[in-house]
Amino acid sequence: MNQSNIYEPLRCTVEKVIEESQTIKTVVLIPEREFNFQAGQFVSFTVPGVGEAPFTPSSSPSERKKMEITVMRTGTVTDAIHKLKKGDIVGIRGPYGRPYPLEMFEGKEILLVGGGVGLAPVRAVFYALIENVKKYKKIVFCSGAKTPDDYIYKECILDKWHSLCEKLPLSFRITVDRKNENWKFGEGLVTKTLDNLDMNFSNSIAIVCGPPVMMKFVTLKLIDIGFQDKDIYLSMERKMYCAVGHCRHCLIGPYFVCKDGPVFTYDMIKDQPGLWA
Amino acid sequence: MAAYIIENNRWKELVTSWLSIYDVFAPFSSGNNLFYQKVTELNIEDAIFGVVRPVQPLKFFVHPFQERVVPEVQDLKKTIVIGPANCDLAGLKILDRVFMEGDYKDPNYEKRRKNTIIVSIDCARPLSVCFCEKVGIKPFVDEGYDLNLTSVGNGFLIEVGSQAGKELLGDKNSFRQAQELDFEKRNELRNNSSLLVKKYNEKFNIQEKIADSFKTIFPAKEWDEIWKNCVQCGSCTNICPSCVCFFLEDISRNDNFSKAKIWDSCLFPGYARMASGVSPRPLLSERYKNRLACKYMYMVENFGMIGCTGCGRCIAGCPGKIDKRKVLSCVFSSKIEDVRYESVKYL
Repeated sequence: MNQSNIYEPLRCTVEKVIEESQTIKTVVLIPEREFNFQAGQFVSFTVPGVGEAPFTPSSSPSERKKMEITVMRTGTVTDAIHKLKKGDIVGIRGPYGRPYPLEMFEGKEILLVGGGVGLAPVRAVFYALIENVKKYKKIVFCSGAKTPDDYIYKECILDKWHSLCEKLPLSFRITVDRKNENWKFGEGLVTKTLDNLDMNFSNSIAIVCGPPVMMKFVTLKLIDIGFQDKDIYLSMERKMYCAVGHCRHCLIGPYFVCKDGPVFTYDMIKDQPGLWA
Repeated sequence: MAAYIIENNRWKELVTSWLSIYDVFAPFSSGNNLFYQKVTELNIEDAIFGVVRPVQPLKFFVHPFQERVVPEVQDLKKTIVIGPANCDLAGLKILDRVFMEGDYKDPNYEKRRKNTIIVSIDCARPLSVCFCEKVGIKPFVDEGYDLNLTSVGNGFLIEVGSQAGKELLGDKNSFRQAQELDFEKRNELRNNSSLLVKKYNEKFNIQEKIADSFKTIFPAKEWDEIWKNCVQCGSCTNICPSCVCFFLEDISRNDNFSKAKIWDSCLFPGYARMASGVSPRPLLSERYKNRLACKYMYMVENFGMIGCTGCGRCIAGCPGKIDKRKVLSCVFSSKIEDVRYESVKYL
């Protein structure tokens, strides 16, 4: 970031808007100049005249000319993002926060667990892992959504990526809460994909992102099956304005989600009040 | 540092001489309180110097209630603030750490800070709500001022704390150098104020080194009961010298990305509530406890100092009459009692 004013965003042009599901869209942005981020970091996304909200990019960190941001329609800003169309001007500032410490994952088995729109940061870290796949022993990708229609990145997760499994130490465990007649994967909550995992838990890390209640029960289950608190990486979410550690809205106990997070290990924050909000 | 004795009339002449170059603010009485007002040649006789802190903390000057941050503010007029006490200087230290001393600098704060000359005071008449001594702060200054005033005789002992302060005094031939006897008078005033604050607070059970002891009371069950007079109005956060929280508001027309920064309060239900409707602190009891935890625990971890200066503004300004000292006493003593103050003695 080279602006002198920390609140001045980088202008971006909307190249495309992809409809992922009824409530989720992915916006493809072309920033005015190249933009670097690391998997897990986030940006503050401005729709001029409406407001700003934090999102973790879902595209590959090695793609510098384009950025994809996947957004569920929930409030004022996300509503405005869903109304964007090709050619619109928006702003991003960042990247902010601490990324996934990929160098610490080398030589380990990696479990990715994503639910709903929480698959967005998981996709970014998946791209980063696959690029250097030899450094990791094994990658297990677990994901869940309410129904088959609610799945985001359908083309990747339900189809294209599976062909990678032939060559790479990679496997998928995919589920929906309620299936329909065309669904060829599992049924049940995402925690069910964690049953009978073929992993060495003493040399594994888990990356978890999803709605609060999903993260809570996935974390508890991971501990139950043998993961240690320090090996569970959570991507946390809070109300946020400044994104630079000034406005104090995003505190989890004494920790800033914007500065100390958004990626936290469970042991760091497990005793803080209101954790699973 | 150099120190001078300046008589009341001569002091007012000096302040008047600043008016053509600076916006000068000083305390004026309104009801039972002191409020900052802009000094003019017409009202200077009514300004009250060297008594006690005014209602507003220094935050009002360097982190105002509402300001534009994109584009950043320009052409600020040089300002002199006469009247903050040591509690206010302590609050300013927190603000400096937040807005100026971290990895990211606020677009306006440093400019405002450098534009503001501080003429602090030693408290001559602490208020009954003052409890600076309970949080390790004295009612007289030791650092962070450009000039400092102590009321002595029919004038002031004025101590120079910086180059800017020195330049403000101009020709010093018209002042008498402070002598040992003058410093003795100052020390007497300082001691008296210190004793008075201690006396006001004898009955409160607030453990020393609250930065350490607060951790032990954080899990206490008394927190579930003690907040009940809070009407979540945000007075205490607005008026606190070290509460910094704000939100950003988009004020752009077309696509110029203009933004404004506006104070927020952690006691408001919407403060941390996300678009989904989920909040980490949906209950007022949780938000009330969180406010004190922010002051006495979280800011210690963030900045190495507590976020409370003992100025007592949150007590005097509370429409629910919550005396924070009673709240802390109750939790430290593991008992539930009425936490409302009986009366607040002002000037």
